[in-house]
Amino acid sequence: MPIIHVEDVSFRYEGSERPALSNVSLDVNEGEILGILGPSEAGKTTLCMSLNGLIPHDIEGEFRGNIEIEGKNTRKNEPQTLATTIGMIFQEPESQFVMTTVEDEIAFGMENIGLTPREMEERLNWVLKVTHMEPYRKKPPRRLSGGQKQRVAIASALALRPKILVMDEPTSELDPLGKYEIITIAKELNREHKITIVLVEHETELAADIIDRLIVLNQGQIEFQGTPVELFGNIELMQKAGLFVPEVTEVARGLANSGFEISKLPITYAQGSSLLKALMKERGFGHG
Amino acid sequence: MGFFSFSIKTRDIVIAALCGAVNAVLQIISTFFTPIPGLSVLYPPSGFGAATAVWFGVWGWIGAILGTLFAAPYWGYSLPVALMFGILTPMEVLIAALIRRKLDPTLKNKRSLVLFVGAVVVLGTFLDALMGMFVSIYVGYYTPTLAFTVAIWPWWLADAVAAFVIGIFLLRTLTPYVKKIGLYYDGFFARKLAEK
Amino acid sequence: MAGRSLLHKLSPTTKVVFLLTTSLLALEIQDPKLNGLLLVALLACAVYLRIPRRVSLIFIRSGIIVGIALSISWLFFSQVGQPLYHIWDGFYIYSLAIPLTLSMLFRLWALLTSTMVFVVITQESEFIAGLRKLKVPYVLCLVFALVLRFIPLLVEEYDMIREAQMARALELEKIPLIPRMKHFMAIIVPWLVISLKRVATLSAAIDSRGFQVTGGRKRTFFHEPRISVADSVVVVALIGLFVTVVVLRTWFGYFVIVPGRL
Repeated sequence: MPIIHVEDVSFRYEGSERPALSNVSLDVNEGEILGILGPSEAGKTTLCMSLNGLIPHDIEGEFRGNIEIEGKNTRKNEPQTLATTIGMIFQEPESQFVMTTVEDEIAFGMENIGLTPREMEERLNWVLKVTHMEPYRKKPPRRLSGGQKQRVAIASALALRPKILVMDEPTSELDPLGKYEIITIAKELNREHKITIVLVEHETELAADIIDRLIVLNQGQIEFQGTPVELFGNIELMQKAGLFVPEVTEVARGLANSGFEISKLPITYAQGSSLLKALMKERGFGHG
Repeated sequence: MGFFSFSIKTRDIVIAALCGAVNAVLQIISTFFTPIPGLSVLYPPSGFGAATAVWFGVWGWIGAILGTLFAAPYWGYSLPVALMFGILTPMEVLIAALIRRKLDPTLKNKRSLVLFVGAVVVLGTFLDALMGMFVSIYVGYYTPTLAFTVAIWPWWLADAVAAFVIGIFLLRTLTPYVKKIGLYYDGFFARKLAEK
Repeated sequence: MAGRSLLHKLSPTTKVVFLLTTSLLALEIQDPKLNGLLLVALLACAVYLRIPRRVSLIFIRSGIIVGIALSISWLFFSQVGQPLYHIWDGFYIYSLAIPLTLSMLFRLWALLTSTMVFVVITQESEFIAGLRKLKVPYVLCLVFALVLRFIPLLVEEYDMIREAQMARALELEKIPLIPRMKHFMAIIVPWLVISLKRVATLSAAIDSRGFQVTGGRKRTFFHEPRISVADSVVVVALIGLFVTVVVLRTWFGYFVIVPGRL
């Protein structure tokens, strides 16, 4: 059974004429990293908020369809109840914090679900280790860098031991180092701790590196569902969806059009650099 | 419907806290220009408080109370004193919250503007100054003579000017934005209605 | 402001009790000798704590400015007792005005010092824990925590916007009142917009971490303030002192110069 089951979901915000989501259906399997791409106003955030129950419980509007998170229907379960199954990270780091020290911030969620202080201490140590934030335990989140702030946000959500983490453009306000930190942690959480991740990401290159499957949303509808290779290799489809083609893919495409034989278009830097090395070796340049 | 059928949502708490923090910071800023409570020409928290009361109803009023509580050290108030001032003085905010349903929140409607000026800018701030005097006398900051002959007028003036200038300005310029982001509240206590 | 002093180590509940009882004590007493004594005791705490100048300056400033206004107010405008000194046409300094003025002044300074001591010995997170231990409903504690969390952020953002505006030659201090007000508004509009934008995300984030306003799960707490012997002693002493003073004043009329008010 898929851990996330979205069935024919539509949503229109109160007071809005156009629906934000139209007949969206998808399944996510446990242990996957699902990417959600699309231009702005495509409905990506709306979909995220529907996954953890904020829609329909906290956000007014017309909600149709069904979403089941680990079998729990989001209509019947409030975000507060779903929080131990599905956690959420938002785009702006500063807007997620409630408390004035990292430790209290992480404890906030745990207090809400009624853990004992000893359990809290254990989990606190665990999430600080996983997000590499141990030295910052007593620091005010306000004074941290963007990447560190998002790591605190991740730690806070993670403290509830959810099986799924939804990340809504977590890197968009970060500098390159911060972006790299977050994507790395997402990958670690998935590979080492088996956490299912739903990642909304604008930077296709970053996303390409870690996602297993992805969907493209445009104007509230799913335009594409498949693997990154299928999508990024198809430049026309990407441009139609308003996505930035990864640089490496464009370069490889250019090379292919100039007569080089390229069997598979690379989508990550690693793949691109291996391809270039192989091509150069073929032509006798470099040392392989 | 009405008074007892409301329940508090997280958003209400966040708005009240935010209004409280903004109010407190405005009070702290104004202490640098108006060292003695009441002696200034402009008291921005009044204007801001009135505007938030129109937008958020009771949560704006609670914000005004919180603001005084947290700005207390800067005024030289201690906790019990701050509580007295905080709860009893923001009358213009309370009145604005009570009459908000009779107002067009952008105050473009002439009748609304007149009502706002009369009830909030003039009457509300006068009551604010009056309560301020009572508390000050009770606590020992002013003598009755000084309070009602000298101190009350600058206090009233500062609040009234702020409610008029800043309050009306904020309502005119930011109401559309408040509505757009879905924070405009319906009624004194009721669930918010995102009228667009 | 982490510290090692005995006062720092008290439980936050004790600290809140300290703040409340010392403030209320100062308010109950009108006798200058006793208010003076209270002030000296509090100043002793402040000196012991070696309060950083940054903090003490704020309170000293308030103390001087409000003190002057208050002294003028009470010395020249209170009509209690018999007329003593003739200053001006119809203006007298009354006999009881001098002790009353001293009392009010010491009271003001005692209130300020007690608040200053409290602010220095209490960290934000333990303040919330202390309130909660006193059975303040958690919703209220959360509101307080949020306000405490927002204030420094708002101050920073205000400065940031102000400096950005200054770069566009909008200096607040040197210009007359009306343009100054306009510039002030030019700062607060973006300032408020940034904050209002946060409300939706923050509410969503809070709910996403399991927070329920009412009912449902029982909430537990990470910080469990421990009550030591010292705490019990201090609390009992302070409350005992306060009750004694209230009783003496209410039933025996002690400590009063002007009856009928604080």
